[in-house]
Amino acid sequence: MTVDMSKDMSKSAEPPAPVDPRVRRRSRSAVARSAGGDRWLTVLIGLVLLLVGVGVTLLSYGVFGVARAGRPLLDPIILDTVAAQPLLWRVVAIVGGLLLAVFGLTWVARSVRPEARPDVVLNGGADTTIRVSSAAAGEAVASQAETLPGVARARARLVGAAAAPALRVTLWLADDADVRSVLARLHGEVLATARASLDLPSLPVAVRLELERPHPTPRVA
Amino acid sequence: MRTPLAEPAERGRLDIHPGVLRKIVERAADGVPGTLRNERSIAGIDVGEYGASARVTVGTGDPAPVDVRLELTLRYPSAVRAVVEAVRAAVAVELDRLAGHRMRSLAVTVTGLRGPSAPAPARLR
Amino acid sequence: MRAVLRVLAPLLGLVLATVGVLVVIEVVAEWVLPEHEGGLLVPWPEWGAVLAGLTWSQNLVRGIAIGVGVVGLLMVLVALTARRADLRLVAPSDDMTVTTSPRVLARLIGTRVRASDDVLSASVTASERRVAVTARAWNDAPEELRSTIVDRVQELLAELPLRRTPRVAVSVQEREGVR
Repeated sequence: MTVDMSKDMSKSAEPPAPVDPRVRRRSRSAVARSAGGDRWLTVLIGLVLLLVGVGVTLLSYGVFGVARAGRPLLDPIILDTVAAQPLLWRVVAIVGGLLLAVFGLTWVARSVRPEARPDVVLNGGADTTIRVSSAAAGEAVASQAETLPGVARARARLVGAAAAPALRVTLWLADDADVRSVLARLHGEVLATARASLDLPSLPVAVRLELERPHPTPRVA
Repeated sequence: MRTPLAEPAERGRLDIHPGVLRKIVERAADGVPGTLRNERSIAGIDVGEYGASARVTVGTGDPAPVDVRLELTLRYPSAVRAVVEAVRAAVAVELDRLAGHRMRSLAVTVTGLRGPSAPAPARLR
Repeated sequence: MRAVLRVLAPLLGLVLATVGVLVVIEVVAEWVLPEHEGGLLVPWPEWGAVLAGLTWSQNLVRGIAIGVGVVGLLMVLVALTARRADLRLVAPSDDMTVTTSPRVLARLIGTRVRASDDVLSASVTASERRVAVTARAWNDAPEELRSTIVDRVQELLAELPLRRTPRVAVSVQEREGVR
């Protein structure tokens, strides 16, 4: 049993239906793996180091008072405070150290983890679960995209969360490809087929265009 | 005097090995139009084909309900949900007809979506 | 820059985790093994003595503080400049985002410019806002060639569904010597 999925070419000339802003955002974030978490944490630590560096430099030049500048780094006042309540400071140090260790390890794990390849989960009714593997969906879209004229090579993969997958498609175009036409046909044929087949009314897509390496042609002077 | 025989329905027990149930499920799934067979090849040499692959767990009770996990390759493009529904119906019917088991739950993973393998259109360079 | 960030971020996490673990180990060791002289893994009593001997106004401390500040500034800069230089294209639908790289645009323009017989060679740099073409001619008059190239490039840019049309700057150099 196959359902006829071919679409009229005229359908792609219709004005695009209004799209949920969340879907638009998901398609934008599907372009590449997000560097946001890494970025802001690095900025935070960088700022802390910068402030400490500036602060100590100012202190050193006597901006906060000449007397303060003359004090030793490991100030006896600090030693006295700690010695007054050793248990408290030990506990503070241990708890602080544990928090730092957990935070650091979590950050490393998150940063080093490869990008997720979510499967498409469909609702199959009572007692039936349907899962289309990430590889199968990606290959299906890529194979169909490669049949478009102007497309030399195509790769597709699913990204994002399992509950809200998005598609990332990379197209390697031939030198003479008509970009507008390729994109229109990708949207009207390839993606429409994928959405219909997988029963996903909204599947945000990020398309990356590259050029295929040209075959060496003889140069005529 | 011979002891009277019990009713035919209670005279014996038929236990069907899960391996047999697995084959019943796989054959039923392969029979549904829309499912495809995969080619198996080792080092580039064709070694044969395989269709759906199933894992069957038999529960407790009488008659024992069966939980089925299936891996399928489907034709693309096709409505995945519709094909899986047809597979579900076929498998349930065959399990009941041949083995007298009720299918309690079905978990399908589509591991392949194969499009028409038409050669790429010739491109002028 | 993104590559630097991808390596730097987990390293920082590792450093933080190591510091945290060492603090916990040393404090627990000091608490539980009072007779053990010095630090267990890290010679912190010696470090403490050194720190007690230094004052804030010493040059060594100043130097290290400036160094730390510079490192912090570099980290902030790396993190903030780690962005993809993508060119955005107009997509046929709102649920699609189309991007490409400046390299691709430069190659397309270069191919189009070099296709002309009057052009010997061309080098192109492209960005979202500006396209710069430096072409070498055979012996033809540079001025007409320049405007021809500008037209060609603008033609190509119109064919592409770019979000912003970059400004085009073409300069033609004559090739010296005999053809």
